[in-house]
Amino acid sequence: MKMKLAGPLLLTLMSMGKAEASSWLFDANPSLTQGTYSGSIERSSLTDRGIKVSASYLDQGAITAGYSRTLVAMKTAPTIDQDNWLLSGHFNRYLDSGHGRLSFRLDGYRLNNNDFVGQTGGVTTIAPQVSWLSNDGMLYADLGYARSGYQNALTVQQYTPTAGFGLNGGNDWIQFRAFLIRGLNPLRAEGKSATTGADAKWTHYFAAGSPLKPSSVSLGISLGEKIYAVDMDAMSVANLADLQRGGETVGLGWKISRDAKLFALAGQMRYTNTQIANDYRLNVGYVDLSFD
Amino acid sequence: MHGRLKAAVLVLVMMSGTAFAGVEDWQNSYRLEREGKYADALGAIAPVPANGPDAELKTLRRGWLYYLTGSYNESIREYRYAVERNPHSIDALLGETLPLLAQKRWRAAEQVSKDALAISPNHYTALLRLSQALEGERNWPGMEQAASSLANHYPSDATAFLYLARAHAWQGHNAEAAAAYRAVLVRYPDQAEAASFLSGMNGK
Repeated sequence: MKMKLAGPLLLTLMSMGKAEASSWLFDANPSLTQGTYSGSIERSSLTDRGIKVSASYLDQGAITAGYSRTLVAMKTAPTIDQDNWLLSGHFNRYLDSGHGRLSFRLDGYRLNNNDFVGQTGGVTTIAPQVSWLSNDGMLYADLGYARSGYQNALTVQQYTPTAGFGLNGGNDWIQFRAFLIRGLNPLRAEGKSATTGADAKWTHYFAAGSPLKPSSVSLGISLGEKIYAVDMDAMSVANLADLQRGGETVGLGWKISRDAKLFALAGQMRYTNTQIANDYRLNVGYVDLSFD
Repeated sequence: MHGRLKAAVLVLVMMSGTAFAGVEDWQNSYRLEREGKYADALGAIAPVPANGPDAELKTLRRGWLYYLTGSYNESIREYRYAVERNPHSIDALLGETLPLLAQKRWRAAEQVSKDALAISPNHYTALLRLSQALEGERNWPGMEQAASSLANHYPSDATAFLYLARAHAWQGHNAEAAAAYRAVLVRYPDQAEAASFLSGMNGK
């Protein structure tokens, strides 16, 4: 009965509304995620609709608030209906002598759903992160931590060290992130007391050209195992997911006008539910329209 | 009579001493800067009173010397203090853009450049720093606008056309970029970036 949303696969269908007032920038981003499961005994599809609102002050920091509603349609059980709340803030500190930028971030998530057993709803996650970006923007590292409190005395801890670097004058970017998830209850985590996984992503930025020419292409791969993962890039908590065992994504970006960008992604994630011996996949198509 | 003359001379000497008080500190500071001893150059003006006639200059110079030592946060603090003391100081605003650009704080550099332009529209350095900040933000249309204004007001300047050319090139405006790069070469025949772009265009 345990269900899980692929957190990293939030699909932003439309991003709109940016107001600029002196040193502040305000953004509002409605989003839509759509996915279908193949080979799943229990699951049929998932949909997530949400909005994020953020305000940033010069290069000093930003605060983001968000809400989304997730629906996971089941084949024989009632649809999981979940409210996801998000509050995130960060501030930057610049090091002297061109030694780069430190960012200090703190995310808070609250997830409520109609899981009558109470195993996946009422989740609160606190996730701090410290990151560093070199002055030339060619090196990046962060260390993230997340502590998720689930009902019935389950506290999941996650450590996410990350390293990234640029190549080819910054036209290529490669990033690795490890997910070390600890404190699992094997009875509620596919028999696992801990999981270890990693994500790798390569992005290539093209020179400007015609509007039809992509501005970027990205390939992502997920290795190892993850469950109850917190993705601070996607700003999501995978509280509904089964054990994830790998996946791949490919994305293309276009700059379609002076202020608008389009991003499309196709992805597939593989999951396992050991309780019912079911290996299945989540197929996702993604489109994201954003205005700068 | 002789005594009165001596007294007058003494007064003159004292007056001249007052008039030149502290000049040596400044001379030492400039000399030390030329020698690359920026920390010592900072120390040389430490005795300059914080509330005297040279206080504003001291603050500006501290901002500059901290920038040279790579103490960008201190540099920004000094320039900010100078702006607070004298909100009309273009010197202070332009000074502040230097450490901001060095730290790649593009949006802040953009804002401060615009503050300077609000005081002095079409100011060369302010337009240049604005172009640099917008380039860092990858705001190519904005950069094109700033660089275009720069080239319009300073038509003999190769740097203005260089930034204009880059803005066009990033947007894929190859014809406009080529024209601007050509304008660079006319004004600065050895400019490598312009020559490289145009030779690449000719090769296509």
